[in-house]
Amino acid sequence: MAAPAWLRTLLSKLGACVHRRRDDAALDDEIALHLTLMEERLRAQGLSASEARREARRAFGGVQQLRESHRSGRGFAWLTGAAQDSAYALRMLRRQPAFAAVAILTLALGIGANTAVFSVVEAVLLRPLPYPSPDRVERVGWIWNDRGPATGAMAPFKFEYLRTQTAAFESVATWVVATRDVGARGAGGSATVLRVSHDFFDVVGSRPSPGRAFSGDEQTPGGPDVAVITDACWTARFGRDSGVVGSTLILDDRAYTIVGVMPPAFEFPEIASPVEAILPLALRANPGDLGANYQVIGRVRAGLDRAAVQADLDGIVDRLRRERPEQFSGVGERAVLMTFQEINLTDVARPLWLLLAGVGVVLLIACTNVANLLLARGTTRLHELAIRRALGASRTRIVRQGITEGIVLSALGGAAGVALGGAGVRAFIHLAPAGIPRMDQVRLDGLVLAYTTFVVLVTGVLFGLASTELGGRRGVSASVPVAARGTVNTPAGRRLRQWLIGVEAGLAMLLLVAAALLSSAFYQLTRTDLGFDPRGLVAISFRRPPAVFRTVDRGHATERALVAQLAALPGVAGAATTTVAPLGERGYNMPMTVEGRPDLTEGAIEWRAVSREYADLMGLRLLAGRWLADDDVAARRPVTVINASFAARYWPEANPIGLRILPGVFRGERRQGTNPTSLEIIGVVDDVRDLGPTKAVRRTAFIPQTGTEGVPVFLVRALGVSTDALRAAVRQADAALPDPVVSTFESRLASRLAKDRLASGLTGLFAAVALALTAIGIYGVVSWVVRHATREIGLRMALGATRARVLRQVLWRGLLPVSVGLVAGGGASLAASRYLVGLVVGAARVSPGVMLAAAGVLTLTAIVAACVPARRAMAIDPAVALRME
Amino acid sequence: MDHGRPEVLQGTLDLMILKALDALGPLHGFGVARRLEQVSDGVLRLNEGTVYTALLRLGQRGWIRSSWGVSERNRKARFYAITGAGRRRLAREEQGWKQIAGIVDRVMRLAPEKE
Repeated sequence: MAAPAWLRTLLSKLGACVHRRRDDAALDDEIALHLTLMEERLRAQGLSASEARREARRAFGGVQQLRESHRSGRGFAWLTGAAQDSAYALRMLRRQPAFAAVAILTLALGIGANTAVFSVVEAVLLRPLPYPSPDRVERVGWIWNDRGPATGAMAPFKFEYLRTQTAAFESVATWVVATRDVGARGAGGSATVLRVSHDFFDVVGSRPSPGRAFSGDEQTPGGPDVAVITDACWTARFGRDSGVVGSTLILDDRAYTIVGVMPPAFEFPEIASPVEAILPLALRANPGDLGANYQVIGRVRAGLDRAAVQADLDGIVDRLRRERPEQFSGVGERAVLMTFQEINLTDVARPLWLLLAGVGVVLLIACTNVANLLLARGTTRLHELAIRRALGASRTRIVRQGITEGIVLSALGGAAGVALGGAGVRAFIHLAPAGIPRMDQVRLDGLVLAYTTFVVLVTGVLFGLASTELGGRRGVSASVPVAARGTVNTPAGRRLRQWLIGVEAGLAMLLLVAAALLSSAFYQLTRTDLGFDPRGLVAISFRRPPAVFRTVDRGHATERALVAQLAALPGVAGAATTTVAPLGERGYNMPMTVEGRPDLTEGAIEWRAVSREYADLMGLRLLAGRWLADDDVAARRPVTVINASFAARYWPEANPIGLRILPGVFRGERRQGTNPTSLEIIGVVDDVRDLGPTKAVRRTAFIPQTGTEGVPVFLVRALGVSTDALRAAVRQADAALPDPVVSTFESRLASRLAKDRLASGLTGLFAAVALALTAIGIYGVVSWVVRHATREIGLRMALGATRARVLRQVLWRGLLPVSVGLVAGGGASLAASRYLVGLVVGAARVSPGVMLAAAGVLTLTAIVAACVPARRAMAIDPAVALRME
Repeated sequence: MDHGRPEVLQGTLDLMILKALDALGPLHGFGVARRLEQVSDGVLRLNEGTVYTALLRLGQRGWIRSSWGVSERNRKARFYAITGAGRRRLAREEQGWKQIAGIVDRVMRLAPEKE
């Protein structure tokens, strides 16, 4: 099919851009030939040589005009025009280096911040997951009851049922992540390993090469120890040795035969840390194991939508509920499809979007400022623009020139901004809390640069329009005389600039309120009364349960010996054990029912098996009854101490001492593997926020640690005791104990608050930048007013106005738009604040205090920025001012 | 300047050039100019240079194509020839032109109505 005429025109024009010189020469040849032939013809008609020459040229018309019209018809005239305009714009910028520097720096700040935050948003939130047809990869989670949130994991028996019954999934697998020591005696450090069930490689759409995936017998309990390693592990630990398949990888002192190597492209973003090895997971589908500890990932059959997959899941769960009702404890317990974001990015996605909005506001302020600068320059260039219009430049031509200048300016700012953004990305990665998937893949790539280019173009066009609007709109007759007088103070220009200042102040107000809100919440958070003193508190734990704790008596003996050993260290104020280290990743919960009161039942009470010394070490305040005693442990007495929240929930008026609770029982059902004996409540202690300042206090029951309650974590209050001394004490207590992990509570607290610190810190930074930019903007407007109103001020003073009155008047011109902006920005921040609630734990709605503080800071900044140039107005000598002109 | 000569109507130059190339086969620019002079009996007022602008325009739209050849007395010259697309265009334009010309002609012939 023939191309349409317009397309052929476009193509030939594009070609002409390349062949400009050649086409010029060809036309010259044609013209020469034409003139020669014409002359010959005229000579033949009897004209003289000179007459023929003249007549031929006359008949032909203007040669130079033809050349030009031919050239512009051939290529894109506007392209050459744009090149001229750009060169002109660059010349103008060079002539005003201060203006250029301020404008480019301002833009670089705005564009740089946007580039940095957008690269993070792109890599973490927007980039498709690294699987073939990633939209077909889904995760299955579990909801325990109607109200509860979904956990991104399932119990093994339910997973196995789902795997065999599903019609919607092409393949479905479960995986568990673990940390293993590498090499003999852990000499190779620790590594993240993935344990996966049968169809894992089909789900992620990537198989080992070289080597193979796991065979059937390798996936059964008691099968051979085999491993597939990742490309990163192959490089780091085996130097890409081609004979790696068949060799051995030692994990936790067990030798695994390497059967395959994953291709370099394999990634598993479902966990934040890079995987080194994949091991087969021989799933024991024990119906008694109700713990949702197995993450489920599946590949949906092509053409099914999420609703259809969810319907399939619902059907399977209904069947399972009919067949095995004992598998269910809660009403509304069911399987749900979950997105990658829902599982991995719940507390990351919103802060990132809000940060992007925040830098967007900073960019708006930066643009407003630059537009203001351009406008100021635009008024001084009014004269130039008026002359150009008078000389016949069309309005379009002048606006086009303005837009080109705007784009040149924002392109320069953008280039500096991209460099700044690169540094910002590195800073962001450094500051970001651990555990954000794909944070390591954040970089300035094509999409980010496309985004930046888009931002640059939009801002450039806006600037261009702003800077030429004044000159372009006014008629020639109006602007030439005004401009020629040199004192330009058009009311329209002033109003526009005041508008911009108002917008700027409003935007700055928005950011200030957000920053004040978040940082006050963060400050509260760091000052949260945990109920215990974390200073000097150190946790000593083990990466894996040491073998000595497998038997109750040996375990108990080791625990007592180590507590004694630690307590005896010089500088140690006390030692105790617990099964849940304070400020750890997670608690441990269990259902309970009050004995004789089936209506007083709860699905998740926090349980802590602690030693007698725990209350003293943590400083728990006893509210009623007594704390655990040594003989409670020795006699294995079934007793418990509950916290104040627990007591207040069930016995707000009465005394719970002497009542009994049934652990592991919920709505008449007993959870498998729990102690059937009831526990007597012997005391009530005050609440402690042992899950960290960001978590609400949970109802908690303390029971004596008798060696049957799992592996203890040792707590020590040690000021000025070296880690090595603590490790040595562990070795002395029991030589069979492995090297422990020692962590201070200050560091645990800091990592608990990393996300909140980042959100409030960055918002504060943006607000500071916004404030600085606004101050520059206000300064600019007021000094412009003063400069252009010198004569007017002189006249007023000559007529008897006091200096104070002049100062007020000048200040007012700067501060009026600021106060309008304050009100508008305050209103906007009220509306926006609900998106901020929860960004930092404890951040509530905007309070009058926060609003007033932000308004106060902004007003003060505005007054200072306006006062500096306004003082110049006061110093004007009326006599001098009146002689101007 | 002779006032008796009509100016070339916008757009009609393209039509006339297409027609000339269609009727006479490949021509160089000078040849096109001579043909236009000849058919209008020297009545058309035309800067001959504008022929080249029109030739460029027609070439860009794909209605004519050009190639370098040798003219009378062995001079290198660029020859323009009409293409298939150009012929189709010409046919359409010709028809449109005849219609318009017919209508204008009829309107011009109307005698004032008698009361």
